[in-house]
Amino acid sequence: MTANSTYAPDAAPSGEAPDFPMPRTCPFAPAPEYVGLRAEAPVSQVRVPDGQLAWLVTRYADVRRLLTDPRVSANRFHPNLPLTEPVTPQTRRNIAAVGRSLIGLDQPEHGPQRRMLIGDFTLRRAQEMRPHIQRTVDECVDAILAGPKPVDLVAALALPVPASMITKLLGMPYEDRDLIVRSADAQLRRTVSAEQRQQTSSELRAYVDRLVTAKEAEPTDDLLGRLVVQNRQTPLFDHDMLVGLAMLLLVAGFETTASMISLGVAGLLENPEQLAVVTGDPAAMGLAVEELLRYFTVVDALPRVATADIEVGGVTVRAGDGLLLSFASANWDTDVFADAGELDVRRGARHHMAFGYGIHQCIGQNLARAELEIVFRTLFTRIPGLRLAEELDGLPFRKESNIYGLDRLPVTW
Amino acid sequence: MTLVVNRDLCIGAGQCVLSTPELFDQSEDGRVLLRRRPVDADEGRAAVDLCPSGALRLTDDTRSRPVVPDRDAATKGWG
Ligand code: HEM
Ligand code: SF4
Repeated sequence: MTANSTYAPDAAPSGEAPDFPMPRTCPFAPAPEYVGLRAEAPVSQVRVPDGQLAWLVTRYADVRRLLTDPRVSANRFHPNLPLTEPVTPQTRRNIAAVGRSLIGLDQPEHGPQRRMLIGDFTLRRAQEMRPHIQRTVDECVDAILAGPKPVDLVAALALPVPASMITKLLGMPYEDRDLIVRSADAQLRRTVSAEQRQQTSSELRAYVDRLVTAKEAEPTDDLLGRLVVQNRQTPLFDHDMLVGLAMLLLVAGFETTASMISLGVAGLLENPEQLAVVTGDPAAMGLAVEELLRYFTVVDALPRVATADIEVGGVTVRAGDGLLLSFASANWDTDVFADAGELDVRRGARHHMAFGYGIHQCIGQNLARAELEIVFRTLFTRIPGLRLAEELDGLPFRKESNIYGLDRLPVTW
Repeated sequence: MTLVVNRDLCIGAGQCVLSTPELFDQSEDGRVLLRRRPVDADEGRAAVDLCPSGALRLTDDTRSRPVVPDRDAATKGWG
């Protein structure tokens, strides 16, 4: 195949390439197929929902290497970029909205955009956010303790905490938090109809557009306001790109963090000896969060496109071929993480790829860490008798989804 | 071994500060800073391995210097 040719799904014998995403079977483990693929076929072809073929990369070393390879592109507009959800007009619109900002850019365009933002995402800034996060979590736990049992922890804690953080970060009025929660909830739940989903999504987009317009008219002292001011000095973004970036920050930091909160709580409750380690020693929480991030790896795999022929894992990926780099598989690679299938909060491994690797590595990772630490510490300290109100296996895990999570987490105490 | 810091490649993920706070810091603009001269190159090894962008490197070339001609002492290759 030559560069720029369209990837022809029919070129490979049909029936050979398995479908992707590969569903999970155990609520706490990535798709079981990854084990065999890492051993036998670490770079192998899969078929994504729109019928296109792509190379699934499952070993830690290969995923990490490709993420820093300049021949690997994150271009969201490339026709061969393997999308892991069925392509609807809605997905196309979402991609078009965020694709020109950060996550869909290669060098040299990526660096200047990213550098305009990183001052707002330093470790120091994340620490300064802690009192705000703590207040939010305390309010949620107050409401949980005052309310009926059992309670759904997704609605009562996992969604409001990241919503409140994002609202504060972007400089949105506090009252607008509900809109974000409703919209994320609509995207999350499978019971919500496609039309409803589309409607909340357009509502959110219109809202973000108004927000950006307001910041452009009168820049306030928050991330978006500062960005507008910087952008006047060094113009990089037009209005639509600013809206896209604000949307990206909204969605990238929300569902992921919410998923990690509910999965982390479920993971600790199901492993009481691990929970005892962190409740016994508050200093252990930092590394416990790293381990939960590795263990659950909520962003299962992300798409890329090769822009030149690349030898990897015993195959030649051709220029123009789609790639799916599996963080979930990489993080369970036993060549790198001994007993990777065990949740071990004392593992002390920071080199997991739950936040990706390379130039796109999560910009919000230190905020996410702060949120998760505060949530777990506060919840288990204030409600020591917390337990699942239903059997783990029966809970609505999003086993088919590329962003893993839970629709609902009923708990009692 | 020499620890080389190239601030132009830094994407502000903060892995260095998180793992080795005694050696690394971040400036207001979000980019990496060296707090002091490393005792030896090993002191920075964990951060070099974690750094996702290639901004931190260990090199055998004792003459190597930051790729960017930056006068800021904090960006010098040391080790
Ligand atoms: C536990 C929570 C989170 C997880 C697991 C997570 C995961 C990830 C991953 C895997 C990437 C890499 C994408 C790629 O390589 O294409 C990423 C990028 C990104 N994340 Fe996160 N994230 C989390 C929280 C957040 C938060 C709280 C924010 C913002 C407030 C955020 C904003 C972003 C942005 C803007 C990018 C794109 C960065 C770039 O392309 O340079 N994330 N995240
Ligand atoms: S780990 Fe690398 S990219 Fe991240 S802040 Fe440090 S030097 Fe910059």
